[in-house]
Amino acid sequence: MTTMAAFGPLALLAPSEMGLGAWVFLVVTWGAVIALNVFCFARIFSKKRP
Amino acid sequence: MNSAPQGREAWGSRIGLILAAAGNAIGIGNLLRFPGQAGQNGGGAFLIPYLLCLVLLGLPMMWVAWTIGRHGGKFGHGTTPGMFDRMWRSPAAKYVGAVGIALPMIFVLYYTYIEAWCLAYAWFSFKGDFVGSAERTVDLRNYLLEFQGDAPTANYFPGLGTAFTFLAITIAVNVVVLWRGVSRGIEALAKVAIPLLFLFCVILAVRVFTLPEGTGRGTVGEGLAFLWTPDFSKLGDFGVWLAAAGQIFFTLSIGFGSIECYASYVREEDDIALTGLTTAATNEFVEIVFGSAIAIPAAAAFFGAESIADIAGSGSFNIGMVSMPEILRAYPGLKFFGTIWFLLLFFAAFTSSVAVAQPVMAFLQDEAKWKRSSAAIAVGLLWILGSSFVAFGLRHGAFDEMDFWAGQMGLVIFSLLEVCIFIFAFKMGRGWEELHRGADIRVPRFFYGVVKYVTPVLLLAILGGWTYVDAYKGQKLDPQPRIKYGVVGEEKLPGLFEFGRPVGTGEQKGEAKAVEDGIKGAVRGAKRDLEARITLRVDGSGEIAVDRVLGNEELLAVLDPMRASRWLRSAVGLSYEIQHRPAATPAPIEFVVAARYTAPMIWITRGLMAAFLVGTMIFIGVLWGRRSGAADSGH
Repeated sequence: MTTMAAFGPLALLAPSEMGLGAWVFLVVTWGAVIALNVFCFARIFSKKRP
Repeated sequence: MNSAPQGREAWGSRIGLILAAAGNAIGIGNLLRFPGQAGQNGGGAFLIPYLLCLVLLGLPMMWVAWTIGRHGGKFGHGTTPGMFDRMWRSPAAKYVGAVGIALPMIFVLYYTYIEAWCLAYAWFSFKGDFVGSAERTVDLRNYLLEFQGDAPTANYFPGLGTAFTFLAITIAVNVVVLWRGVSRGIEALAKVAIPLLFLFCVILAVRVFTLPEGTGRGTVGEGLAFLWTPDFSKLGDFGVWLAAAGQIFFTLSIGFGSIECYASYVREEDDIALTGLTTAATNEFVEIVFGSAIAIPAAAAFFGAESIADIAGSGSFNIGMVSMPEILRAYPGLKFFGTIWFLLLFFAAFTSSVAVAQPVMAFLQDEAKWKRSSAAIAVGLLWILGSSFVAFGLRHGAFDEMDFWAGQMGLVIFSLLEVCIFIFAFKMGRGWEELHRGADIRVPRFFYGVVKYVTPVLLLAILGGWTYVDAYKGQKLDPQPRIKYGVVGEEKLPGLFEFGRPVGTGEQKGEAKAVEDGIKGAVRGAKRDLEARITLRVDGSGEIAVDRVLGNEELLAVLDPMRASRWLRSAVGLSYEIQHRPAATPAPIEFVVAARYTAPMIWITRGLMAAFLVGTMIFIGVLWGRRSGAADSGH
């Protein structure tokens, strides 16, 4: 229930074995890595080089 | 991005460079080592030291390597002897740089053997070779050992012929890529291999998360919970911090000289700050997202939550080449998913091996002025000779010895030397300026202080930690005898022997350890390989009893039937599970114990590695001497 309350529909995709702590670490880490990649590739593709 | 500095080769496109550099970093460790380390070292909490080390060690070293590489490339140097010589006005600089040639070459000799295993297993999966049937039981643990040439039995592979065939193919494709050059070879490979690698990861992750429920002993969720549930108590353990720093080191391929070599093909005014960051980001994506979504969740679903800690701790090869095939063969679609899994590992290794071999190519081309074809032939010959030595010497510890020096200690020593040259010889301010020449991003000033003060201290701490943990406590400097065992003719038995985790009380475990110490002592005393053959009886319920033990006298003194029986149960965790024809009781079974004397092979390996390093230094001395001689006569 805690996980459900914290993550709403996303928790439906998640196995019930995962507690809130596991979810926090997973979401934060995956989020950070994905955000870093988006930042890097957005900068690369927005840069026009001769 | 297509004009070559100093008439050297150059990358064809920026995205090609990023894919190639990401391919250098992304390796087997991303998919196998990371989840194992995370699971064993605090789960989610492991990510705290891991990310901290990424910021304080990984990214700084990445930028240092890119800066050194591009700077060296400006003067026509693709490898660290020439690069360091330009940065540090000392006759010693080029000899320190020799480590950046010898280290990657030694590393690639045994890494290619692993790469060959992945290619072979992709083929075995495609053929369904290890599926097993009522007529042919396949014990995947022994199957791997026999294939590698490390087993005392020959149930599945009569010798090293199969492994050699795949090793030769692997080396051949690597050499072809290197022969074709930076743009037409390495970059072209990366443009195909990295997208394929991502595609395979997605297919396998989807497969794992859609495994039919109730077919295994656990769930995918238990695997994710194992990996991500934080255990903050582990943060007080120095070993966890050391493991995190080590993982960052391995995953970013720092200390091989390959990043520097790739960067040397970048033009002076092209960005390296964002490129370096993107390389690290892509690598981390594969490691953190896919590394945690495939092997461990699959293992938890199949083997159950109670086994997952053992599997995570069993080592990368066991996770990838024993546990994963075990899971994949239990579900439909082995030929497809198994082939994809091993091709994924193969491509991850392939893009890394060409990167690690490229410094040697570049050295021969840039410094010795050899043609690319001549350099490729020379590297290929050295490769086949060296890797053959690894394959033959594996059973006596050559592989592990090379991994310890070239794949662990050497990397941190070389990185420490490199960062010191960057800070003190080249000067930090100049290095910072060099990093930002043509940069598409401004690296936060915070990293200036990190590179100058924190990274070297961290490197020293890792060096100290590994020296204490592995060299001193783990007795890595003292050649340890290796004990390997297996069941003769097990493929024809109606059941499967399992080598589980050690069982029994503390006293029994202590006794089992005493037996192993006794075996090692006997080998040391005899100064040669010893072997014992234990005859086992298995009754209709799978109970195992030792009938008799035959073999070398020295070994029999410590491995009588009673001790052998306890050792098999407690230390080896041997059990027998009837799988087919339950009514049939197998005839007496022969269990072979091979105790190998490793000291001669380990000392030969050390000698060869040292000789290779010294030989490289002499070659450098000759080349530089010839160059200064030519300059003098020119004047």
